[in-house]
Amino acid sequence: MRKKLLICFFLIVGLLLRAGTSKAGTVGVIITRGSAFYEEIHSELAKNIARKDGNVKFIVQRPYPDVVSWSNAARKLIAADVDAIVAYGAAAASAVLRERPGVPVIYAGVYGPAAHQLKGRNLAGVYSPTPIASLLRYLRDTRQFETLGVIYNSLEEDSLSQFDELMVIGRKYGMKVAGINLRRSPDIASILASVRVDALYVTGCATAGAAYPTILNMTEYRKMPMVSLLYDKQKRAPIMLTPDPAEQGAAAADLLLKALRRSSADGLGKVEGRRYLLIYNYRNSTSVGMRMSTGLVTDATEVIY
Amino acid sequence: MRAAMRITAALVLAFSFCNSALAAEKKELLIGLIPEENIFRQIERNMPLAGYICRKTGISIKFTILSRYGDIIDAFVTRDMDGAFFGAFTGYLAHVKLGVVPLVRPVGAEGGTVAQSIIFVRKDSGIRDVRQFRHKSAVFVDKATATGFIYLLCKLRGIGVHNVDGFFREYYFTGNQESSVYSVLDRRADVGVAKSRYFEKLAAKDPLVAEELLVIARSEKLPDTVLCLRKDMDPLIRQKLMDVLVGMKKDPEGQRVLHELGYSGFTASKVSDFDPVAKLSREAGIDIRTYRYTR
Amino acid sequence: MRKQLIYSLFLLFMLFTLGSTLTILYIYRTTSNLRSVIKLHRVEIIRQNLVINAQTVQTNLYTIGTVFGKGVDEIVQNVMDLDNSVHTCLGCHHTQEMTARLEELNNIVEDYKESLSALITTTANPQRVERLRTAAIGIGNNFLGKAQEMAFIADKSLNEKTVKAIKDINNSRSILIVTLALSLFIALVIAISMTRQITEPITELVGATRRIKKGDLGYVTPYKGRGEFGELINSFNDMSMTLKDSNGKIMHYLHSLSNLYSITLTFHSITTMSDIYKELSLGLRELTGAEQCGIMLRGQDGEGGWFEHMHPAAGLSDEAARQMRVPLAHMEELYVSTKRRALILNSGISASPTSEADRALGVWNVMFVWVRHKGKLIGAIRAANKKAGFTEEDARLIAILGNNFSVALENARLYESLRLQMKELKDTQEQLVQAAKLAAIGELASNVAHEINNPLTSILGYAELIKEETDTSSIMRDLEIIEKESLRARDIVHQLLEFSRKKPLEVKPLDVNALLMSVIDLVSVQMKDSRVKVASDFGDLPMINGDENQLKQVFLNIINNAVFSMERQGVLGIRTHCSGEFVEVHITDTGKGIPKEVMGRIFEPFFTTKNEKGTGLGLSISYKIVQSHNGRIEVESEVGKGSRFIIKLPAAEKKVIARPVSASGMPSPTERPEAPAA
Ligand SMILES: Nc1ncnc2c1ncn2[C@@H]1O[C@H](COP(=O)(O)OP(=O)(O)O)[C@@H](O)[C@H]1O
Ligand SMILES: [Mg+2]
Repeated sequence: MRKKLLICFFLIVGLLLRAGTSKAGTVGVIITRGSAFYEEIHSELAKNIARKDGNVKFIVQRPYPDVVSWSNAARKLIAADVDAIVAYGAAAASAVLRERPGVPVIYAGVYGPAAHQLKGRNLAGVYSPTPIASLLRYLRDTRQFETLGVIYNSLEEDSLSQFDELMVIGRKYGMKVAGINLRRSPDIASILASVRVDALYVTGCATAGAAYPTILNMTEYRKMPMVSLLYDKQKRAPIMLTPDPAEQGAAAADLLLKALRRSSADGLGKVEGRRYLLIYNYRNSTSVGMRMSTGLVTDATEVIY
Repeated sequence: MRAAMRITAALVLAFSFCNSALAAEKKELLIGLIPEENIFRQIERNMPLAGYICRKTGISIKFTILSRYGDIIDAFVTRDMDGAFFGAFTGYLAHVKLGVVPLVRPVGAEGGTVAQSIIFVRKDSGIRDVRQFRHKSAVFVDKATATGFIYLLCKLRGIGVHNVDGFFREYYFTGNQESSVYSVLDRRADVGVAKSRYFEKLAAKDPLVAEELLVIARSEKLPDTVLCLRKDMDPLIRQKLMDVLVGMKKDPEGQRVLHELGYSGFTASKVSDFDPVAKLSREAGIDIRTYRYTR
Repeated sequence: MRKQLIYSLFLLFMLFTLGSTLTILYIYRTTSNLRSVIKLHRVEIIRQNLVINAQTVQTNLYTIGTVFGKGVDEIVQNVMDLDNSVHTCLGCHHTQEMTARLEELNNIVEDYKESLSALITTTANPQRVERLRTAAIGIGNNFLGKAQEMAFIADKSLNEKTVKAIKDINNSRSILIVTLALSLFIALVIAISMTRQITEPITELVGATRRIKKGDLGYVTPYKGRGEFGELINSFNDMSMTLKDSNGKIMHYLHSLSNLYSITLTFHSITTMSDIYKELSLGLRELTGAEQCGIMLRGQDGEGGWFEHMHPAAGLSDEAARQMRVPLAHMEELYVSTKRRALILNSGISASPTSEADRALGVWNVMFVWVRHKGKLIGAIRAANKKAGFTEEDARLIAILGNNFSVALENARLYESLRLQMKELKDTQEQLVQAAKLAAIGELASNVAHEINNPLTSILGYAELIKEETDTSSIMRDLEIIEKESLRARDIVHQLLEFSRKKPLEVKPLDVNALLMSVIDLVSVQMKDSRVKVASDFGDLPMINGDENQLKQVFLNIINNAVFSMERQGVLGIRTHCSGEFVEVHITDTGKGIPKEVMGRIFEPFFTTKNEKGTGLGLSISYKIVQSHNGRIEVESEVGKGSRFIIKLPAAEKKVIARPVSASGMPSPTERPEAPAA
């Protein structure tokens, strides 16, 4: 009996010591290829981690946006015996959860409704309820149109639920909504060449991210108004709305450090991001025939003249 | 294109006619317009009115935009104006401070001559009562509007709150009706105040406004716009203006001008028209003689 | 003659009419161009008004909020002026592109008005007001930028039009001049032809020219003309002679070039150094006619510091060549002092760098032509004893050869290093195959350990027993069991070692059936406590040529995968038969099968669906091996039912060998199959 007690005591002391010192951890990261948004969040996360705790080593996987690649990436990370996994976007996160990794899983950059569908043990993350209806309203303020093309990827849950929501809102506004399911980025040129829409709404999917220069060039060339939920460093889209990657990265870094320290993400819960980048590129918007909107000018976080 | 032509045409018409016919008549009257939405369209709309009055009475009128920068009351004095179309609250303010006298007020095409203030929230916020406003964020239009701010002060007094500052988590003025509505729709604020006419216009245009927002309080009817003249105005001119404006709706040419303005006519206005505003200000605990609203 | 005169005068008249018509046309075009240039200038004035108006509003904006009231009225007036000037522009006729631009400009003005209104109307919320002000300023600047851009375009077209007008004027002037000059000339010609007969000498010359054209170079016309004609004929005769001379030279040069070409051609097809030297020196001799020809190269050994004569060389024994060496510094010095041009010594050969050897070899004249590679001196071509003496042309030809030589040399070196790299690559590939083999063993290893453990436990048990036994006979019995169990353990380890040992690739005639038996033997350890049954059906097979160890690895990989896919129960089918010129091995399983999206990737290296249990190397290596045996692997699979891997290997000969061992044998899963006899 005394022996057992002693062992217990040492075990507890050991555990406490471990928890107290910030231990060096290896963290697996899944960034779906093509998404500048995820890349930006990750660099913010890495910056925050470096500031608080230099002891984390990242193993980054950049799978293509398809189911087998996500799963393979998750498996490789699990096989590499990482201490936690960070997944950007709902699709990557759910691929990791399917593998039941047994280590803390942190997600970030997930769209609100898609975040509510992520379930699993040892899970925490950052999401944001981007007001996608407002972007549609700005588009309507700046240009009249009949048919709205929505570019999305049915394999990426974030994008899919944004599309579903847009369908509903579009019906309320009495406009025709044409879904453009972009499963592979290289298809974009042929799709855009054939589809008949008056305006374009790009949702947050990595396939569109990889095809973004083509999308921008074609809309500019065809003078087609467009708005976008895609993060773009160059800010070329006439109107762009995304969650603030800095906020997402910082919050995710926080969760990750806590999870590493406790070896578990249970109880950390979901954090809602509240900051957005609403960037109005007035110069590009006039050249595709969009008009100024005072509402947009005053709401925007940045206006480019 | 056509719009611009019309403006120039109107300008030329208004001035040339009067200058030739009434060179002998004394100076022209300077009338202020409180700016709304697009001032260029506003001037364009009001030009025919100036022309009409001039043709009918020989009194030449010059409209100017009564900028809200600085104190309207000061502007009225320093720019030596003869009169202005005021809003309910500013009109009352000018009446109290400068003694301006109400002359006429426009009657809307739909028969309304009045405005209402409303308080609204998002349906899914669960807020249904003024008491629930505590520690929420709020958005107002402008400190100097009855419909865009002062009505809310009244409601708060009603539950014993005397100071907005500690009550709301945060609040701000948008300066614009539309933006006040959309701030609540986009969840930038929990509670909003606006003029009901604008709210309804937006709701008709944007089904999401009608569907997702809920009006939880509505003020009494207040006068919307009132044309007031300075107190030492020549009674003869006063009468002339009153006659021509009130008589407009019976004259085919006048009807055309009214149509352009979106009114069905003008009706005589009395000081007592300000009573509801006076009551509202009193209930809101505002001392009208010291109330400052400049930025 | 009279007819001629009439024709000529008519021609003159026509020319005059044409010239004047063209001139009038050009003048007409010029005036209309000038008119549009003037119009464009007028438009430019309108545009300037536009810009001035916009700039006024912009300055108003910067001062707004300082002085009030009047400012607003002024802005309103200015914006309306601006609006008007844009509409004036829009009212004119424009190209489609210009209209689109103006439309855009108009939109921007509308935006401008909107933002100005918002700015003027908004009072509350200073931040918002500031944003609106920024917006108005931004849009205003945008407008100015656009207007400037249009000015640029207008300016361009103004320029173009002006240039064109000037060009037209110039054209009409030159046409006028040309017409006048031409008429004058024609009149002159007519006059001359009237007064003089000139056809005779010309006919003579034409005849002579024809003969030359036909190849009769050097033909001299006997005709003797007077005065200028005489001179003309003389110089014609001179020309004919010169033509003949230079043609001879060209033919000679062409000959040398074709020689050169055939020599350089052989250069590039040979890769060994000594062959190159040989070809070079023989070619040199043929080209120059010198007795001794060869190449001297910068020594290979770094510290040597010598230029050495390579052999074989033409006209020099290998021994003589070997002794001919010049210090590096000396050679470099010469190279610089000759200004990189060839060193030709037709007399005074004491200046030759190889003068000592020259004297011994009886050299009377010598030439050195430098060979460079990438700007660096790498060698010199040496030629000696040419009867006619060395000329600059020799030097030129040899220099060309030298260039080709340096390229051929480089090629030979590259070829050598390529060969080395190929060898390295092959080594690496072998290592990869070995690694994969070890991985396959690894897949077996856990079970094998278990299998070795069994005999060891019983050995241990019996050893314990012996300690307590006293009876010799029972001790003997225990010892026998211990011996048997030890042998079993040794067998297992032996087999594994045998397989994993790295062996050199050895292609020899093989019996596939026997090979398969030994692999089954290896795997049966793994299947011992699973409920996987093996169903084998070996047909009569010809021998194949192959490497035993590699093919064993292929079968082991595929059988391992099959067993894994069945998860401890099912039937592993192994069937062999001969079909045409191929030996076919069918390995089937009743496992979970391969889904479509996986099927396309199973042969990729490192592709695995088994997480940490797989390496993803098995099939890719197998594929490589079978391919290198000129065979094929095919896969058929149905999800849930199982898979079939078909390995096809080319038979060595038609002859059918004796029936394979235990063809009927369906080794029961619990019992160890016989050791393969083949
Ligand atoms: N008989 C089989 N049944 C089902 N799947 C198979 C079979 N053979 C191969 N595969 C699939 O092919 C993949 C690649 O096989 P391989 O190259 O041998 O690598 P590994 O066995 O290490 O995974 C396996 O992960 C598996 O998914
Ligand atoms: Mg395998």
